[in-house]
Amino acid sequence: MLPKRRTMTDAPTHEVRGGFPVHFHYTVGIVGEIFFNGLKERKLLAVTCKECSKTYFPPRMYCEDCFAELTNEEFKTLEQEGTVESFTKTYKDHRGNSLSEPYYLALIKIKGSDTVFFHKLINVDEPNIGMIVKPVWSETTKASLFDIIGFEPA
Amino acid sequence: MKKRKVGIVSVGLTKFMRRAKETPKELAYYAAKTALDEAGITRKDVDAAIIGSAPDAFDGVHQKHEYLTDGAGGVNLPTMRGYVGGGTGVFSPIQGWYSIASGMHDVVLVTTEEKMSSVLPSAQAAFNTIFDNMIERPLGPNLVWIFALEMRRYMETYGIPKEHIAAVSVKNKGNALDHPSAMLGQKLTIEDVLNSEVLAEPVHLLDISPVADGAVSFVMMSEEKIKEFGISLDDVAWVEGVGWNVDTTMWTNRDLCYPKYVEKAAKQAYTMAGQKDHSPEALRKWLSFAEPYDPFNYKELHHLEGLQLFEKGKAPLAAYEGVTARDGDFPVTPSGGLLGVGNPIAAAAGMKVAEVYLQLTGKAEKRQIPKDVTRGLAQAWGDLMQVGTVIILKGGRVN
Ligand SMILES: [Zn+2]
Repeated sequence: MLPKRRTMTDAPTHEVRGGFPVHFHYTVGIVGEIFFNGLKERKLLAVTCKECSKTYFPPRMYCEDCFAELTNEEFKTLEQEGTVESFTKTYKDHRGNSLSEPYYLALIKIKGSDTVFFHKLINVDEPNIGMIVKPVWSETTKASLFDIIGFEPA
Repeated sequence: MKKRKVGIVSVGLTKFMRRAKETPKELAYYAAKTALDEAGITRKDVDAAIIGSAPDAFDGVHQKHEYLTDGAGGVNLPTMRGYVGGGTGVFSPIQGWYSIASGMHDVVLVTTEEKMSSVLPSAQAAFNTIFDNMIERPLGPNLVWIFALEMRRYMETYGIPKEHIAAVSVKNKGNALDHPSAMLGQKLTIEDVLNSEVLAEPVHLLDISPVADGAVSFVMMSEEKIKEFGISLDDVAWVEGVGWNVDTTMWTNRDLCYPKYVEKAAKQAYTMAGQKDHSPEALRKWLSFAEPYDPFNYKELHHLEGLQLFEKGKAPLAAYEGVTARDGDFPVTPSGGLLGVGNPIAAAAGMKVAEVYLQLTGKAEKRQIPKDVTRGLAQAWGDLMQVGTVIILKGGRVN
């Protein structure tokens, strides 16, 4: 049952423009420091929970299952190889604009990790689930997510 | 419906800091893990998790509860966030209480968190977006302005000298010297407060609390589980009363001198706890101490009056005369409060509930009130300055 309200129309209305005028500087965190510094050295650093054997890449301060603290564990370097768990080709950016060059995004499970990493898939025409890929590193690394340009077929 | 008895059995606090290196998740983890360890239980024993955090625009992650879930120990559990702005830190343990009192859960992990240092250019820029977007935001209001309006009206109405209000800053920042989480414990004089930088008359820098990063967690349990785990009643504080209330969203139309919404929340909590006499004398005898919300010094006084602990306009003189000192007749904010420990919004009020727990279980160390304490109250205030949240705890062996 719809209310009979004459004001509910699609007609244009007077608008007040506004915004959320804030931006942010995020600390990468205690374990984030280790992860990003690893990327700078072109390393994929992970951590394993001793209690449940789950390996986290990217590493975390704690195991979300058994809640053990992982900060003092040894961070290990994973092999530069992963498996495509799923992928998509995007034609629009997050604002809805069409992309001049559509590209692939993928969920990638790095070998030796129990978690899945989200990044770009590059230098590939027809990807498939199960495809083995490896990271392509930027020429200059600066402890950023984009030290990895994307993953390409291994 | 018969309500089950619910107790807080442990707390976990991070340090409060201006700029913590930890992510919000990591802050939440420190607090949650500490609370679990203190209770002698693990995440496997937890039935549900509750997350309290104020505007997403501080940490800069939208849907902060979802983001914080793993750090707050809530993965694969019935987990939810309750959010009433600054009132959140007291509301979160209230949520914990009703989750257990209702019979729904037995062991609940409650985490309050805020990382305010992430937001640029300032926390006040984020606060601007809580005002009405048509008729107020274009003027650029922030909290300091509206507190200045309220404080001036309160002072004028009751003829309160600024010295009496400044006494609250001296007391709370002094008490905070004894709090291990505190970021702004200071030995000050009333003159220091009066002569500090003017922000918006009559509000000066030392009248207000510092923005901060921090987290506080609690483990709450049903009476049955407390017995089952063999937890000593010396480590328990029972939830005896809870209350919350929201005034009109038009902040311009509220009573500037008296927080009616705090009165309503408090009376709900007193009544639930079986305390029928709501006169200041009776309540100050029944309660051993209080932790009212003190983001600004005059707010502690405002809230004490709303809580019915002092007559209208009478709390400032009591503060000035030392009645509310830690060793006074009625200790108020023995923790050091938001003014002294710091104000990571939701976690700050969480810290107040934690203080009530620590005082009642005799674990407040250097802050321990030097007399027998049987019952304490924590109160917070928030949303667009019109929500009051109240929780009353009593000692584990108090009937
Ligand atoms: Zn684990």
